[in-house]
Amino acid sequence: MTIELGVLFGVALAYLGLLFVVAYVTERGGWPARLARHPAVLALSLGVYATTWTYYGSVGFADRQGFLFLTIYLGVTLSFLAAPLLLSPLLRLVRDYQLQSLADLLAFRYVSRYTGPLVTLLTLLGILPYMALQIRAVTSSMEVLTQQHAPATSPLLAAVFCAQVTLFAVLFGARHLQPRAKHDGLVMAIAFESIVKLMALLTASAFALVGVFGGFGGLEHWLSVHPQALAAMYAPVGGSAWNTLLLLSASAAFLLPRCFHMLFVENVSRGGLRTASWLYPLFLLLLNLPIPLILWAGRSAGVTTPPDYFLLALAQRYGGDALTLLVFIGGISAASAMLIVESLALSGMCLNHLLLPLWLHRRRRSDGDLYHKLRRWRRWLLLAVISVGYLTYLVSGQSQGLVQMGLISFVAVAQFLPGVIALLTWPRATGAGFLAGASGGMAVWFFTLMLPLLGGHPDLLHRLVPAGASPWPLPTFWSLAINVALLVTVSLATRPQPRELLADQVIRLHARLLRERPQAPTLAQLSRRLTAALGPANGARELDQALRDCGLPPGETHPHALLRLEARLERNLSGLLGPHLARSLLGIHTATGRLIEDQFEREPRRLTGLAGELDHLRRLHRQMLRTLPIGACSIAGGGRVRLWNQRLALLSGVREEAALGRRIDELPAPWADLLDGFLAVSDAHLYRIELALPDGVRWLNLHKEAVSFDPGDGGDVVLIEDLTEQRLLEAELAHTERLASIGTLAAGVAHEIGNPLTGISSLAQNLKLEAETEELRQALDEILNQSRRIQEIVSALLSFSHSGGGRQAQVQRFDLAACVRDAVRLARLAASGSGLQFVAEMPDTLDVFAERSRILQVLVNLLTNAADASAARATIDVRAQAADDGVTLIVEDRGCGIPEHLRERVFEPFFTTKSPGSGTGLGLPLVYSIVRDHGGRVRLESAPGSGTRVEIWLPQPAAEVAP
Amino acid sequence: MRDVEPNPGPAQRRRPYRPPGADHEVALTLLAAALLASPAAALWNDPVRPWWLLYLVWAVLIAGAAWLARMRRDD
Repeated sequence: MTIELGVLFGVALAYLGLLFVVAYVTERGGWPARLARHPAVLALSLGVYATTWTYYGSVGFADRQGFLFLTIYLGVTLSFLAAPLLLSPLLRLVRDYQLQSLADLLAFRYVSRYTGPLVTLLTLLGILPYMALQIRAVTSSMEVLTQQHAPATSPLLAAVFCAQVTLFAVLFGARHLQPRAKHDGLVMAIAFESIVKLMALLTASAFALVGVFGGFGGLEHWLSVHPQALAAMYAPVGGSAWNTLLLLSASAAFLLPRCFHMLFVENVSRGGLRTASWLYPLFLLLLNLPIPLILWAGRSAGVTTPPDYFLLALAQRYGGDALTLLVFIGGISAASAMLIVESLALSGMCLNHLLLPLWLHRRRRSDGDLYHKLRRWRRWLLLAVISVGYLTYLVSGQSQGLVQMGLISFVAVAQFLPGVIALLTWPRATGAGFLAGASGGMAVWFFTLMLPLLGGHPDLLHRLVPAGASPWPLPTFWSLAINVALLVTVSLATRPQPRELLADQVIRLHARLLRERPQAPTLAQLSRRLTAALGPANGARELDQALRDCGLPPGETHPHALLRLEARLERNLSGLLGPHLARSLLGIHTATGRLIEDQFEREPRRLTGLAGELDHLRRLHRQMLRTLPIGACSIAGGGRVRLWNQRLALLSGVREEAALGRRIDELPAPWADLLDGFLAVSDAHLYRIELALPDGVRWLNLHKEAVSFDPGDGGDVVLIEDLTEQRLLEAELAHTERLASIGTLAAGVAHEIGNPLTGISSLAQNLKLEAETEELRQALDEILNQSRRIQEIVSALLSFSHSGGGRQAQVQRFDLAACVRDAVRLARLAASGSGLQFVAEMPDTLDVFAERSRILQVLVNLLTNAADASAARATIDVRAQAADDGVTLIVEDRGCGIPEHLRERVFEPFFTTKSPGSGTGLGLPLVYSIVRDHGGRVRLESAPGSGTRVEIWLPQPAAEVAP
Repeated sequence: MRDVEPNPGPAQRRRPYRPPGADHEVALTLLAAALLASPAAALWNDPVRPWWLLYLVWAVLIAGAAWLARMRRDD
């Protein structure tokens, strides 16, 4: 039974047309995006690995090499088992740096102008003959079905097939202006082709099984009758061929351009690699399950066609036209998928590493739209690659089988394996080492495998390999051995370029950053800590309670959940033991959630290009936030602090690392209440909030704004403006203004009162001399006393007005100790009769620079006040000592003290706590004015009933501060 | 300064978590087992060995890969 060539041609065209429809519908959004980007679609699209070699050639391979044919797929399974070690890091790298091919990847790490072109040329050399063989497989299958040997129309049919494949690749593989854009239509069509291959193979083998053996029972019977058939399958297994083929297929699984393209470049599905790591090997297993059956069925049925095409022959004999056409379509599918994806991958490599460098080198002016130009070139290159494959098909002979040609290309791409392994694991590898290794390995490959194929030295391999031995181990071993030896030797002999070191660091950092996660304690660790602190029973109770509170199972292992559990435990224990003890008990010392920031801070300057610019910008923004001259903090949605800048750390006394990661209710008082309360109210601004801190009262303005970054990642940013200095300056200014106005008033009043008062006093004195009666003299004495009293007030007013003008003190060097002794003597005179003890503690001499008379005035005023406040026979201490940058004077009594509500007013003029007539209320304002004129400070501490302590600090020139 | 630990989501919450590094250890163990098991099965010199023995070993490897994939959280 034969099928007309025209029918086969029509069926092939119709199938490729169906492929267009599948791709077009996908591109137009005909399937839900969830389906189009499903991980299973990626896994099936990886079936592009299985070409006509698998579809037709595996039976021939099994016939010659028995179960060795399975190594080609077991090796792929091993590669995907090693996905976490090998494929995942490569996928991350390719995705994040938008690499488009193996040449891009190797050129990224081995920075050299020759890396990309060399990899591209070597790949072309290794793959183009294999592409030619795919075309031959299609025409050969037609020959088998039409039972015509090499019909004259074969080149024409091959040309039409290539044209249609090219059209498909151009339309669906190079349709986007941006080379980075993914081609959902292409991926879906290739996945569809994998299903067609699998269905055709399984259906045909089922027909053969039933047709030839009548079922599995018949097969078992046939095998028992022909034990040599099974023995022949096992006989070639073992030895170096097994391991060699495993290694070759494991490397080809991701290094062949078509596999690299589908696995890394077109892989956009989330979790795609995870699913593919088992679904893809499963697909290959199903694809290979019928191979022994087809071989044995062919042998049992006495099929005369070469074993490579047993499938077609069996389908023809037992399945009828429909099955035959289905099998034929399966072959078309295997060949077209390979040609399409391989040509896409190769054209991309040629564009990036051969054409573009030349264009950029010769470019004189910027012309046209670059994106349109790139797309046009990509399409021309696609046509060129498939055309070269077609020409290779035309000129190559029939000598090489499907498997042999496929394995030659496997050995070729395996030459990039040392470079890829070194890329992931060996920082010392250099571009020169890679170029030397790959060139050396490819040279061995060319002379031992390619040259015999081209007919130059057909006996070379036969001379090297003993008769009957597998031809693959020796060329593979020597090419890889020389490759690795050169890579290592040349790398060690040359120094890595800075750009290579940088690329290596990026790869390493990249892999580590994406692998590491915030450290969370395990349940066992939490349990141990609780048990150690609370005892076994209480520890277990607290842990159970926290697990219940969080709704977590007892075997929880997710770090995110464990962090939540830890926070819950902390909260529960805070209520029991207080926050500090709870944190130390749980061993919480560090903030979470800043791993990447910290990692980048520890290992700066690792990024280049756009990533480097973005990192620089990120650093700048972070530094700006940290050094803002205003307190700033950011509170995450969960109430945890994620920013606590330096100004706020200074203001609050809470260090940045202590605050980060904490919940705001765990911050020290009063910051917890302040921030919690502020976030709870609706007002976005609170003004002049008074906050009592250990070092005094502070006045703050608070501002907040909600921050929405990503869904579920909101929070608030809070700015805290410290107004304390401003407030003190305002108070100082108001006080000074008040003093100035009072001083002016006092001067006027003193002048206006002083003159008449002098007259009154003189007249009273005269009248007293002339007074005749005792009663009159007493009255005149009283007038004189009151006049003196008024005179004192006027003098004080004058003195205050003179000091209140802010005039510069006339400083001179004098002995402060002597000055203090004078003041104490004057104070003793004033307080004579009260039995007060004045105790002076100071060095014998204490030279200071100040205005002596005014400092004496200060001391007398302070001592007089202390004496007035003290009970009889009380002690008043006077101390003077040199401080760091000035001199400190302290006057301390143990008297009645000053109530808190009056303490702020004692420096106001005319305010006095003394009984009417006993004080003018100008003493302390005078002290304040004089000290201020000297650039010093006055500090007053008082507690009612315990006494008052006035401390005066006077600045001194540095050389003069000595005891 | 975002929290780098993403919300695991309901689908991932159902899977037990394996800490970073465990994937690699498991992958290496499976790989070593596979490299030992598949040639051993192929070289098993027993006249009654079934023809599908290698496929069985292969299926076990795939089951190992599926189990490992279930452990992993990202790719």
